[in-house]
Amino acid sequence: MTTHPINLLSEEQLAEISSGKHWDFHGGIYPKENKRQSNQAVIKDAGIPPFLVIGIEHKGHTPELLVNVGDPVLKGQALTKVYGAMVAQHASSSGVVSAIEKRSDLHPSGLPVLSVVIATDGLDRSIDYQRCADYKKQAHALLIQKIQDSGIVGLGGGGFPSHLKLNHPDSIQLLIVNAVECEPYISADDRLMQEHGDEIIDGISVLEHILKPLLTVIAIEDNKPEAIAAIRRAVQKQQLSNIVIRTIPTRYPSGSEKQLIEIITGRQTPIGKHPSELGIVMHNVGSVFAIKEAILDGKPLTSRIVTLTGDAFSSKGNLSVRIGTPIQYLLDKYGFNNQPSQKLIIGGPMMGFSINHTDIPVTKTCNCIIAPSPQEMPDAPPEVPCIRCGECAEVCPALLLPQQLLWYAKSQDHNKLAEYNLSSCIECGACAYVCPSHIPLVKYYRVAKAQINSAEEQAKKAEIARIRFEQRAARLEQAKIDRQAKHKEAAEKRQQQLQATNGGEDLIAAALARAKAKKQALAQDGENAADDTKKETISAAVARVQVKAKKQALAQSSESAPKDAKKEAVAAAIARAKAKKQALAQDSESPADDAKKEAVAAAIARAKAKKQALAQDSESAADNTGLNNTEAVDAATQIADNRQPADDRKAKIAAAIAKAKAQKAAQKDQ
Amino acid sequence: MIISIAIAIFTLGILGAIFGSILGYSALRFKVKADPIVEELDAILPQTQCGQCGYPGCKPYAQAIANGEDINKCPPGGEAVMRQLAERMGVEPKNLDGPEKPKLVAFIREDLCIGCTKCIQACPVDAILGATRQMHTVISDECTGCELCVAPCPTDCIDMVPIALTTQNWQWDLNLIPTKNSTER
Repeated sequence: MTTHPINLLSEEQLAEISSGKHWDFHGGIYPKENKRQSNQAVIKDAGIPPFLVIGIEHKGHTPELLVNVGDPVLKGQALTKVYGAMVAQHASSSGVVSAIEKRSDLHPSGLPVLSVVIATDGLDRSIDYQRCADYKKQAHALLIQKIQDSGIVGLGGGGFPSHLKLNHPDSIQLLIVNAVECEPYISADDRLMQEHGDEIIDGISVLEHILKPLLTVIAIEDNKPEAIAAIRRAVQKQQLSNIVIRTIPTRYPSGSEKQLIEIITGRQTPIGKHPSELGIVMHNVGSVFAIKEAILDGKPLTSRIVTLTGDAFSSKGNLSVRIGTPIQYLLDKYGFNNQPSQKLIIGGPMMGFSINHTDIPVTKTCNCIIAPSPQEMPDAPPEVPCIRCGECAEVCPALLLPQQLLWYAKSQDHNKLAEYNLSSCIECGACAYVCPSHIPLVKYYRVAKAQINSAEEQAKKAEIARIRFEQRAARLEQAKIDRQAKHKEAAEKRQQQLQATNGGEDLIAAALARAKAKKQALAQDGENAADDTKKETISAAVARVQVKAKKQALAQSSESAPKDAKKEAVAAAIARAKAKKQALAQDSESPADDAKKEAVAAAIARAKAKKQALAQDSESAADNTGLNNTEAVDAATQIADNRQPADDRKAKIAAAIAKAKAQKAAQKDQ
Repeated sequence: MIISIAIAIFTLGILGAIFGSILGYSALRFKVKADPIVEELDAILPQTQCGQCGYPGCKPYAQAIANGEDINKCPPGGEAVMRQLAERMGVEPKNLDGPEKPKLVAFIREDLCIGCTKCIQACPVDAILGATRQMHTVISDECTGCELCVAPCPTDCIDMVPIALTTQNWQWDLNLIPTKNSTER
């Protein structure tokens, strides 16, 4: 990903940012935070489940596997190779690979993806972690490679591979560490900062070493005073001068990448541009912690912090969960009170999705599991028509017109949706939150976005198909031309050879002429003789066939070995296919069949009559011409009479032609 | 009197000559070489090259539509393509000439393939890979689902299978997404 900086921040702007000024973004909402339920207790280890399910497929791509079924694995051992920009996946505890199969993924569809299933042994033995204290002496590319090999993705919920955000040396001026955590209920980053402030600052040092930004800003919402204090202590302890801690007012969705950039720098990211083009890189605080563990401690990403909250849990809090832990295991362990029509939400209440069953593993992007009681989150009231009050446009942080988008999403007008920048929608749900008609606007946008994506995909495929079709046609055309040229060349060569060997006389043509003459003579000789010869040939052929059949029978009886099963199957399939085709052909042809046959017979009769007439013309035997011609005419008329009405006209025309010819011949003779 | 008539004729004649030459020049200068509508129609069609419309490919059908052929002869495109064609041609939408089918891809059952290459010759987009007496296989990403390879197969070993649902082509279900459950106490 090479990007050209378009809009780099000036020195004055950076000075303004570091002096403590912050800006504002449009819209936003103030939902109840609901964070106290989970942010009071320290992070606990969720324990080792009996089995782990680690999905390795990503967007339809399957990387090369490094383990087989039955292999023992250790914690931190890589299960896959790095594939393209994808990160590697690791075993998150020790055990044995019990299966490599499709299992449900943590995705709103719940569709299965290829996963490695590990039966854990409970010992949690790990590989030897290669600690590296002097990473500052290593090349940047090696560090970035190490981050990719350690499987680090954006842990805020996006899951964008972290190493891709580090490939911009030289052009980065501002590094923003996103510790805003603006979604209600979630407190994973809050607890992480309270307990691991020093490690986070170490991680920032690693990023600063790679990116060399002029300024680093840690953005934290003002509803996390303990976390702010912890980070402040850690910064003071390490005496880092270019790190600024920016406390921002609590408002949803200030943690969204583009909105946070606007708050920190006062700059909007242009549509379709990446923040790195503005000279800004943003990393989630959880990812920073994971980068520190990967570079300094040599530990790949095998666990993440998950907030377990909602009134259906008897014990709430934050857990360090091994990647691949089944959600059912967490529910069992933390007093999940299952009720009929119980909802389970992955992610925050604003942007998360619900799952229908619990046989799904925790993935790297799963930051929160909410199990609300029915009183806590009652079902949404039914949707009523839009009254175009404009509340949604007031709160939209992306400055879109949600009511217009809804209108066009419902009518599936993809062009208009593009015109109104549906692609800029961050799906934060603020519009749906304030809607007095209870319209789930984001639902409609997600559906429309998926439809637009698949339409684009199809258009792309159609274009490829068109190109392939045209190239194939061109290739076939070229092959035809080549073949014709080759034949022509060969014919010319043969001609030349003939002329060289036989002194210009064409032997074949001569032989053909002789044969023709002979045939003519034979034909005139008499037909009865020909009849006999024909009969003889037929009887000879029959005899030959009989002998062949006998031979075949003999061969079959002598063939004692059992027949190849595959051959038989193929033969049977061929027979089936033939029968099918025949049936099809009969179906389609039977009505047309008779008419066609008759037409063919008539055509043959016509052709014969014509030939006869011609032959007699050329013979020009004066006396019997008239007679013969009359015969021909008679034959033609007879045929015409016998013909079906459909062929009547043609036959009549043929008869007329024959008559005219006969007349002409007669005139000539006279 | 005569003079004014002569002046009028003369003036109009001069004007006629000037505008005539301008028109003549622009007719040559801004000449449209090919009919762009064929390209546009071809871009709407799904490019399966299946021939179900009765034309040997999508482009010939696009040409035929431009010449007044019906717009409802493309079953792979379905209702959506028919509507787009109707809009582009300025005609009324019609019912599809044939049933609309879900998108399929060809699949060759390996154990029955005898390596006859007949399906390879039939495939309009070169999406079948194989050689004489070797097992053939369909490159499913390139297969347009035209079914032209099914009929030539002597062992009837090509099936048309629906495209597998993955997280890539999955569509959001309006009934499954909770967005408005952010009710706070």
